[in-house]
Amino acid sequence: MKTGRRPLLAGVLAALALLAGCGGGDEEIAPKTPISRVVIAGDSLADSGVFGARITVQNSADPANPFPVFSEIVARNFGVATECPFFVATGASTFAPDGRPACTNFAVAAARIVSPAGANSPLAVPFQLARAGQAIGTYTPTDLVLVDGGGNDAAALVAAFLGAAGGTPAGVQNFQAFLLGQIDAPTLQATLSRPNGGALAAGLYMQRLADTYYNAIQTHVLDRGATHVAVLNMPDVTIIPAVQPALAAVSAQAGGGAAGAAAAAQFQATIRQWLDAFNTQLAARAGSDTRVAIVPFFADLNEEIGNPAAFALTNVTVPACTQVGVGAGASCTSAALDAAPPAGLAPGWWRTFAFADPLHPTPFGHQLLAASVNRALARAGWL
Amino acid sequence: MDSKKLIAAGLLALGAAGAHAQAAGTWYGGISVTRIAPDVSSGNLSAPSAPGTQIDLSSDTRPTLFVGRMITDHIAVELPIGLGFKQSIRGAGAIGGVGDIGTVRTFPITVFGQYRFMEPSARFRPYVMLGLTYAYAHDERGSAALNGVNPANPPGGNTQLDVDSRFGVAPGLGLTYSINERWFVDAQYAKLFLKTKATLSTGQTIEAKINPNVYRLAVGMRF
Repeated sequence: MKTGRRPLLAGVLAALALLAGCGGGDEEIAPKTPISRVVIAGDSLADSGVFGARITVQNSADPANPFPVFSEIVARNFGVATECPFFVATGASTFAPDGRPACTNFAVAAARIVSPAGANSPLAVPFQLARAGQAIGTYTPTDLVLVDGGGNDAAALVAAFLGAAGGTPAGVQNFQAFLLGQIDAPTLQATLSRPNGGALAAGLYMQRLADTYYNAIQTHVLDRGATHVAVLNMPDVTIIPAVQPALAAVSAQAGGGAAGAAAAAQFQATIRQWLDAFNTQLAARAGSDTRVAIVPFFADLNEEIGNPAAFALTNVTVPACTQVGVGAGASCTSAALDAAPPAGLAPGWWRTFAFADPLHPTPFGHQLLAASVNRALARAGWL
Repeated sequence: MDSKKLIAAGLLALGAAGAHAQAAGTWYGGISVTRIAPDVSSGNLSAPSAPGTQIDLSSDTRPTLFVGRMITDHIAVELPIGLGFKQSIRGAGAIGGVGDIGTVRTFPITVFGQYRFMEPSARFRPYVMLGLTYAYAHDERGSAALNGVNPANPPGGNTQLDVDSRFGVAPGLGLTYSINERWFVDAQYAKLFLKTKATLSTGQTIEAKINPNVYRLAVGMRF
């Protein structure tokens, strides 16, 4: 029996020795799609500093390495640097004519899908996409195109609607002029003459805006060969601090109290219908096109604001600063915030706030948005 | 050992006087194929993460060896021997559909105590068993998808993950069919009750019951 066991033992040891060579490394597993270039279009959320700074808290500890915005975080995860903006601002709405040819971030703070600066301004997202297409020529399968737009359009629509609700002729005229940006005159008049016509027209505006947006993506991105295009849908602007004064005004107008709260809730629901009109149309246009991944920004932002603790957020209502980025906003730095914590909070407090100013995320808010985008990219099988 | 020698050894054994069967004192061993199929019940990743961020584990099938000894005519102690398994960690729940967020290698060290029914000379011997397993987890690797969906990942950085090595209990059952005095085939199933915890380098933790179903088909010989 002893003679029988020894070969067995020897065999086991030999097999172990042979297979023990198959160790595993510690290196991370690469993205499913190797991305070598990230092309970005959009607004302040994606802007790498067209006006001289990113529109969030500034990094005092290392000014040469500013806190990245979401689009940069997404790009870095593919190992791509996108830290240079294509457009160079020479004023609030003027830009150097040729941009920086080596840079692929075309996003500009304050950009809208339909910009008051005109269709041929870098402040219009479709123009950014056209300019990118012109610069790139033909997209390749290793390009990722990241588009975020519409939030500023929605905010402007809310403001115009409220201006008309005030009843002044100028307010009404301004609202109609705004709507004419996407709706032809006969349709607009027919819609406005219906009960609750203003709100209906605003919804129609948003639906048409999604078409304008997607048409630009189709023409300048998909038709140029792009196979990896991520488009953020419109966030729920009714839950960001910037829109709270408008909701409060609606409440006050209705006499405050329970009646005021009901009026504010109703107005919030109305705005959400407009946003939904945009997002539904955007989703319908993208359809089942596997080249396009729609990022559910609306749902994901709602989830964050609704479950702050899960996201390690300590405050989702009060912005860390009143203004961020350039001008007066340049003073919103990590050092300034650390030096003056609100009562009861310690230095670093702003790192767990969702909003840097009433409209823009903190650096951590950008990380949360990047995670949301990345989740959609991973689900599309790209990451 | 090449196959000719194996066959020759087998033939010699057949001719050898004195039956061993599965009687007390018999040593046995063999080669097998083992499939480990987790039945994961995941907790949620701690903050910061999307509520309901969970994980799942893929199955793996590997060649393995085993060795055992009949202590009495009915009681055996058996040791599976292998180089472990490699499994993908997949996103589930709030990160369902994102695919692999990492891989982990596990090296389970198990001792089974078995009770074999019927007489040692019986052709079919069903058995029940209970094992104690130490699941040693090593060589964990995170993926770009993990970095991406982890809001705490430093921009451009990598999230490392660490899976705790834990003890588990594995009840099971099996059936041995004796081809002859020396050779047998065996089928075995065990359920490993195993709970573990993974920790990300960014601080979040997640607990999960892995509870794999472990299937094994084997060919063995007695000595």
